[in-house]
Formats: sequence, C-alpha cells, structure tokens
Amino acid sequence: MSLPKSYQQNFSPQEINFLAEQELVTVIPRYSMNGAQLIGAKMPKLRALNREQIPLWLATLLKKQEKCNIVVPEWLSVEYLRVRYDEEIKYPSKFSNLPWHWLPIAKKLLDYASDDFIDPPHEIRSLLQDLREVRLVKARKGIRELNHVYIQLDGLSLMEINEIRPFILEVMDQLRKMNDSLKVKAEEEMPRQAAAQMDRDEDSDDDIYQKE
Amino acid sequence: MSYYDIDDILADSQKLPCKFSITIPGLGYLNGEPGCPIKENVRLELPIWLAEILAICSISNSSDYEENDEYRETTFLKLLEPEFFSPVFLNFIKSDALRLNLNPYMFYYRIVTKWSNMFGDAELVELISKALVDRASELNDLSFKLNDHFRGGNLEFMNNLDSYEKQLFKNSHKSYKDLKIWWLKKPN
Amino acid sequence: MNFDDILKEFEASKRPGYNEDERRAEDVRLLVDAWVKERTVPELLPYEQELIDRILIRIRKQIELIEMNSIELQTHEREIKLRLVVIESELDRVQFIIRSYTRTRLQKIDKYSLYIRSNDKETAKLSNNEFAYMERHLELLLELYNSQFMKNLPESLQAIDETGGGVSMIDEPDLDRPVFVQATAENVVEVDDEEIELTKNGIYVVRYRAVKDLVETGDVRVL
Repeated sequence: MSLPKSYQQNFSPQEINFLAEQELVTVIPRYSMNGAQLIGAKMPKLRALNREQIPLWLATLLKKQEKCNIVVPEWLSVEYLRVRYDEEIKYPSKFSNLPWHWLPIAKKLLDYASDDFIDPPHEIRSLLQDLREVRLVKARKGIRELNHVYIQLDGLSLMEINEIRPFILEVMDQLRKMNDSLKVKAEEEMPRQAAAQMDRDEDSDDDIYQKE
Repeated sequence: MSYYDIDDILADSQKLPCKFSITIPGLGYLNGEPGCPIKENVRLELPIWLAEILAICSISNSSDYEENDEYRETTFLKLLEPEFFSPVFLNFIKSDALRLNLNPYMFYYRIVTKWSNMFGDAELVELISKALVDRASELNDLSFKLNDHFRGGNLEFMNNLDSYEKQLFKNSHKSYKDLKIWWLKKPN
Repeated sequence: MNFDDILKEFEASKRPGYNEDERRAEDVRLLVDAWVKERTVPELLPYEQELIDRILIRIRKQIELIEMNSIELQTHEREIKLRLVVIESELDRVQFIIRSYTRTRLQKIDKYSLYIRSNDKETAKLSNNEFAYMERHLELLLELYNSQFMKNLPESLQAIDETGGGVSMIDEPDLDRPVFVQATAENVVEVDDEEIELTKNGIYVVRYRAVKDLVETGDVRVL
C-alpha cells in the first residue's frame, strides 16, 4: 500500500518532529560563513558572534559541526518549567501554556546542545518528564468526556495531540456511527423502516422487541 | 461502511432471533428440516443479512386486501429482541459496563448500529454510547500502562473486549509506545 | 511547468516588492500545509499543481548544483563542503514531504478510484500523472479480477460498480469522520442541531463535514 494504515489520518512522532524542526531558533555562530540558496528560506550569511534566526534542523546541523551555539529559549529553564508545572497542578481542568512544539524542540536541544543550557540539563529533562506525565493524565481524563458531537482540547501541543489522536478519532467515529443510525430511521421513508415499525406496533407478543 | 469492509461482512453474519409470520414451503432447511416447510410462529436464529431482508420484504396479497379492511402489510418474519438487548443485559451495562463481557458478540457496537438502523432506538444508543466511553477510557489507561495489563482484573477486562475494542487497544498502545520510543531514543 | 508559467514567473519577479527569498520560504510553508491537510482530511484535495511545479524546478536546480560541486569536491575547502551538506539536508527534507504528499494522495486515489472517475468534480482534483496512474491501475486491477475469478461468474454478477440495493460497491470518502482542527477565527458550526462556538486558537475534534468549508477558507486549520 502506498501509505500504511497507521499513517492515514495520523503522523508518526518522527513526522511531528520534522514539523518542529521547521521552527526558528536563535544561534550564535562561532565562525563566519557564507549563506546558501535553498529550496525554501535562504540560509543567511553568518557572521561570528552575531545572532541569527535559523530553522531548528539547520541549527542542530551546524551545532553538530561545532559551528555555532544555540540560544536555548527562555521557556527551557528550570524556573519557567516549574511555574508551568505548578499551574498544571493548580488548574486540574486546564493545560498550561507551553509552545506548540515544546516536546520535540526540548528533546532536540537536550540531545544536541546540552552544553548550551544555562540550567542543568538533567533537571530540565526531569521537569519535562513531570510536565508530560501530569498533562497526559489530564488528557486521559478528558477522554471520559468523549461524545459524538465534539470535544475541545485547548492547550495541548501537537505531539501530545498526535499521541492520543488514534484513540480519540476511533472512539468518536464509533459514537457518531451509532448516533447517526438513529437518523436513518428518522429521515428515510423506506419500506424496511415501515416493516420494522410494524413489529413494534404489534403489542400482543411480549418477546417482540419493544421499547421500555 | 464500505462494501469491501470485512468486519462489516462478519458483523452481518452474527445471528438474530426471529419468528416466522407465515408458513413457507421448502424453507425447512433453515431449521434443520430439509424438504419440510417452515411453519408460522417458528422461532430460530438467522444471520443479520438474511433476517434483515426477510423482515423488510413485504408480502402483498391483493385478495387479502379486498377481504380485510384492516389489512396490514406482512413480512416473512419478525425480529425478536436478542438476549444482548434484553432489559437484564442492558441493566447490567448500566450498573457495571466494565465487567460486561462483549467478547462473544464479536462486533457488538456494529450490531447496535445495525439494530438502530432498523428500530431507531435512541435510548439504546445513548446507553451503549455511555458504556463505550466508560470502557474505552479504561482501555485507554491500560493501553498506556501496558506492563500491568495482564494481571487479575485487567486480564479479565481485556478478555471481555469485542473486536472493535481490541483494535482500539492495539492502536492506542502503539501510539503511546511510538512516542515513548521516540522520546527515549539517544541521539546518534 | 510550461513556457507560459516561466514567463509568468519572470513577469512576477520584476514586480516591485517581489522578493524571491520570501516566495521560496512561503512555498515550502505551503507545501508543508498541503501535506498535513492531505494526510488528515478524509477526502482527496485538489492537487497543488503550480506550487509543486515551482518546487520541482528548484529541486532540479539544487540537484544540479550538488552534482557540479561534488565533481570538483577534492579541491574544495571545508566551508564549501559544509554548505553542500546543508543544501543536501534541505533537499532531503523537501523531497520527503513531496514523496509523502504523493503517497498519501495515491492511497486515496487507489481507494476511491471508482468514485473519483464517476464524478467530474473529483476527477478535476487529479494531476495529469495521477489521472494516468488511476486509469492504468484500475485497468490492471480489472484484468486481475477477470483472470482470477470474475470470468467464472455469471455476467449479471460481474459488475464492480453497483450502487443500488444495500451497500454501494463504490467506496466514497466518509466526510463525517472526525478531524482535529484549530480555529484561526471565530465561527459557529453546527453538528446534529448543536451549535459549537469556535473560539480563536481553540482546538477541537469535530466531524470533517462541519468544518470543511472553513478549512477551505482558512478559518480553521486541520492538525
């Protein structure tokens, strides 16, 4: 098949990661370097120690070659993440405000630029893990509210959405199929409904299907 | 629903209890009596695809019509209430959806949908929808904590899933696992 | 891309305020969007002909550039080598999206080919190549069906596109399937007589049919 079933309607974590790598981060080049014409946004000319915004994939590529340092975003600090964690605990029915791609960006920077962090990376890592767990518990609680019409999940990031997506879509799809089956009865004037109705109208036999 | 949907074809072969409204010559083989007629009021279980068509097709008889003012269309058979939609069964769902064993019905939710297509029972759909959400939430928790799921009560719950729920469990587990693997993967 | 398109691009490039760099960046953003959309919605969307054409031309140029440079690689300094690595990495990324976009569409075309063929509006969503692919694929499939079993069936049972009586043999995309969306503007949509107020930036799971028009106008984006 041209596309595996698990990728229809859904993405792999690697693909969400790919989307996150398109996001811009700030780098401080160690050396000067000429720019390059690319298919998409041009790679700018880099001058040593002059901050520049480039996509995350490019930043990690240059970082691996020791050509630059990455300015770790403010939200990847112990202080910021602690505040978010406290919020998650304080408001049990709300997700705290984290970047749309917080998981993949955090992972990428911890994996390839841990020496650029101001706070100890292992502390950041464990805070991220705590945040992830508390949010996951909330998302799974939200599942109890599923219905056939809609649900709202404000504040979840894309990676988190993608994680619970197969489950939510399948349950909602089943719910709406059951619910839509009522419409067939209500909307269509088909002989089969007339016949089925008749069974029920007949009140003589108690084992004939009846509504309570 | 799609024509080539195997699950739908399998669901259609699940059986429903029916009662024949008229005597039909030569149909006895449905009841294990080849060569004999099937008699009026005989009860037997038929696969949904067959039961449905026989419950829908009306037999019009013009002479009946003339003789009887209160003529009503008859069909070959009437569908009876299956055990899995009986008040006892539905009460059990109401009281403890998680302990309900749907495994024997294979395609329970599809059968509910098919049944509701014919009878439009809003109460039934509401009740089963609620049961589905309860069971799915539990299943989702287990699909996340996979290491725990083959123990005691969990094992019982897992064995009570219908085929849709089993697939749901698999997909949900895969999604959690994929993310875990991605998150823990060391950079190369 | 034909001569007219090249001319159009040339004309456009002379317009004041036109910025080739911005346009390239925008095109890759549009490509990513098209890929995400195609992957998440149940129906086949119109093929992004002009966008893909523009990007394919740039891909070709990039490949030529890499080939030219690798021939003389020995003489290069390290910085040029690094630039080549950057160019190749980006090329890989863009090619990945195009491939995945194409595969996603082929999967839908395979699944819904009879439906697409029977409906002009759907057929118009295909590129010329996709149309040729669909026709050939169907032809092969029918040949296979015929040689394997169809020829042994009575003629009246040989149809593969009956629509009457019970379930239609022609598979159609199910527009009532739910999708994850984010509202980029305020709107009200209706599902089963229930009104849902979409607030800006709100994330919802709702059946595709209810937001289909808003996805087209951009008031809602699929995730």
